[in-house]
Amino acid sequence: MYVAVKGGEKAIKSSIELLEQKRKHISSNQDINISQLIEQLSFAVDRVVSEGSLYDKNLSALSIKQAQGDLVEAIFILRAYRTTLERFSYSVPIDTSSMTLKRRISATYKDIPGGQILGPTFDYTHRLLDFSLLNGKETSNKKNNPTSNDNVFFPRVMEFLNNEGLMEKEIEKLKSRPFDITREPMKFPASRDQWLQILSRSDEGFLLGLSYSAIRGFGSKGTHPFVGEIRYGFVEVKIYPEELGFEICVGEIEVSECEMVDQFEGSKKIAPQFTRGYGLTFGYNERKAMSISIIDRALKSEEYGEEIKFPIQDQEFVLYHSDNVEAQGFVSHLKLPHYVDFQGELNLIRELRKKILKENKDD
Amino acid sequence: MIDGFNFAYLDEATKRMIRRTILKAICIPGYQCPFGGREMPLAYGWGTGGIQVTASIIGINDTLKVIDQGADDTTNAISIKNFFKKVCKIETTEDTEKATIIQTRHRIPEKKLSENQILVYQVPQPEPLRRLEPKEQETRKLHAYEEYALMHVKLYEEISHFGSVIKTYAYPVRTNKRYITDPSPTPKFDNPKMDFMEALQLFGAGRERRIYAIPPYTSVQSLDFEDHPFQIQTWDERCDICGSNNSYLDEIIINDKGEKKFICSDTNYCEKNLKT
Amino acid sequence: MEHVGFKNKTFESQEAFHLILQATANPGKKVKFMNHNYSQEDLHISSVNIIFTLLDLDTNVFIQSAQENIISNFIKLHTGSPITKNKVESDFAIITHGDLDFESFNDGLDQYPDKSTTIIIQIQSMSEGEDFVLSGPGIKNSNQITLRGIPHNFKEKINSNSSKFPRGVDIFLTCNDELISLPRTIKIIN
Repeated sequence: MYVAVKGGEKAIKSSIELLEQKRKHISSNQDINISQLIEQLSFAVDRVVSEGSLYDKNLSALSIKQAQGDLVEAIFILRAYRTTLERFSYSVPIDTSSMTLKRRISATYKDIPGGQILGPTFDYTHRLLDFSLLNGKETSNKKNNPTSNDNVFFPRVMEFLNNEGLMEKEIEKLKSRPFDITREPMKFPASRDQWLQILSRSDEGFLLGLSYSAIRGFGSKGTHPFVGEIRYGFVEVKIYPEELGFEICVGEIEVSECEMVDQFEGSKKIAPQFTRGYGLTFGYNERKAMSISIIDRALKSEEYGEEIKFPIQDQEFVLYHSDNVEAQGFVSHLKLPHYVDFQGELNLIRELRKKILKENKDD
Repeated sequence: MIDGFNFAYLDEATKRMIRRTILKAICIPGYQCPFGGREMPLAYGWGTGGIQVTASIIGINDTLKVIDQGADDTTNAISIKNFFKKVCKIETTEDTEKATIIQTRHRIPEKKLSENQILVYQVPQPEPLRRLEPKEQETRKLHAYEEYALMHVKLYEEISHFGSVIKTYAYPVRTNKRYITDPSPTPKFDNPKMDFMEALQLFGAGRERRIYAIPPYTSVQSLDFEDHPFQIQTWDERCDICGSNNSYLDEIIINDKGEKKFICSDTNYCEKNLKT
Repeated sequence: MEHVGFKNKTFESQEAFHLILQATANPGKKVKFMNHNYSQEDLHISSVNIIFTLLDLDTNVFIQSAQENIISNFIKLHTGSPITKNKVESDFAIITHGDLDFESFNDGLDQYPDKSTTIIIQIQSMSEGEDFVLSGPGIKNSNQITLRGIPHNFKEKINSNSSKFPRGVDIFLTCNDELISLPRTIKIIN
């Protein structure tokens, strides 16, 4: 008699123990601490903050450590924690035009009021392995003069085009409460507040590939976006308690923002003008902010009466598939046992083959 | 609060929202009710919809059974059961009859369920028309106007090409003679059990954020044609453990030569059968 | 702001929900709320249990009552639900006095029939009065209920509501500590 294998419980326990052992720092004998991660792997920490959609660098670093560097797993851990947090207030919209800038560039003008600020960027590093980092390099404690000019107002580059009437007007203010992707099920046709929120916590790789596809050729014709302005820096978060009657600052967050200029030929109703794409993310995630701004513009295709031909223009395609917590979950669920369904398929294939082989024989 | 978690993990506001959704879902049998699904500490696709439904209905007096592929001891079933043990401190059981709530993936127990039980299905893709029409905006309209020709044509094409409908699991049903409904990826063998089932059937799709329901004593018909009536799977073999010839069987390869044995997929049914 | 509601929100609301679920899955079945700890003189015990269990900031409530203000304040205090004068806007309606027709409430959308009003109607008796035989999903063969203090032409109103399926309103009848749920699928056959 056959006895079915049991012991799922034991297997799970062992698997979790093995995973824990894998983390053990046998050869280095050094435990990474959270502040090391925040300082030395800041881009990883920022990515997890952005896609985990929880602005807490400590917890982001903790989740990276816990996930042993698997960023998609870390994002998932942070997201699952986020969902249990109570919401105690709504902030007023952040004002990025008065942010403390660490970086600000425009590709559409040689010079801009306030100037171009290169800031920290990989752009002009030569991508040569720096072997001096191999065995630990003494880091200088010399404080770099911040490039930013605190509390100076930097006009937005896009506003110059706007004032000349060449630029599509930005929505001034939402009439109703903004869509809340963390509370409401997806709705179609999607509204811009809905898709910008989704894109802001979407998988960076998915957004990058999608935006690349559009500028390479799988996007509406003539698409060559121009970077109107990229900003990265700190911005204050304020709330407005009704009982106080004035705004109070509750903290500061680091954000990356990109405004992209695109063409529009005009239609019967609208004269030719530039159109805009907008992207905002938590942390220093410039590549992602740029990708979002390209996708934002493409998702407006329907509004402009442009033909929907490519994946990037298709709201359902983009918004249903860009979240890596959802995507990784569903792809990885294929690892679960499916033997009951597979049994059904086995029976069917055998049956169909029997029938076909019999028919062939009869012929 | 139990060990830093609210009872059943979800906060009360979320439970309330899900409870309202469940009630509407029961009032509109087979209709996919959107809800503001939350991230769970288990991966999407691994039963988060079912977990949210169970978490919203479960109370301290409930006894929970969790199965995957019909078995109580498959890894994910155990993982989900442990999750509820941790966050609810409730009784769990493998005994189908003793359970008040049964959360399942891919099977309906062989034992007939009763009025005081609730069957919670984990659903990966709640939309039965999705493979025929990828856009949600379109499938919503098809359901709203009962435009189901697409599905009938698809099934008919299969019959004319293969001689029979080739769907072996997630075989679409018509609930209460109105909505075409996805029974979740249970084998079609289980479809007849859904018809006029005495237990309430609740379906949770976490990633797709949908809940739907089939009340007790509700008509659930597998789609078919008069000249090609719906049929369930059958086996020439019997269960190698309990000898059953009327339960759903899993095929097991027992040696390098590829020799096979067949055993019941419903492990609790098999055990009980062996005892009697 | 924390709203008052049940003292032990987790367990009391789960118990009450379990009964509401039972009633809705088995239309016509009378369920009894054992929790009498919360009351308001114009509302039945069962209405209060439903209000505490299902209503919150996200549900618009319409009230038809001789004591509209008192009930409205009670609901705001315990649930935070916004009160609306507009029947079509309401997710829940609470009717303690007067006749009503179902037509004027929200019966949902073709594509989203769930976006419809659930009406809580307080009635005088569930053991005396007029007999009705129900049939529909959740009912084995048929189910008889006896009601007094219900809207005029109750049978016609229920049947015209169910003929609109999948659109329609859903109804909770409440009396003292008892509840009968009548989803839109239910027909009165006699």
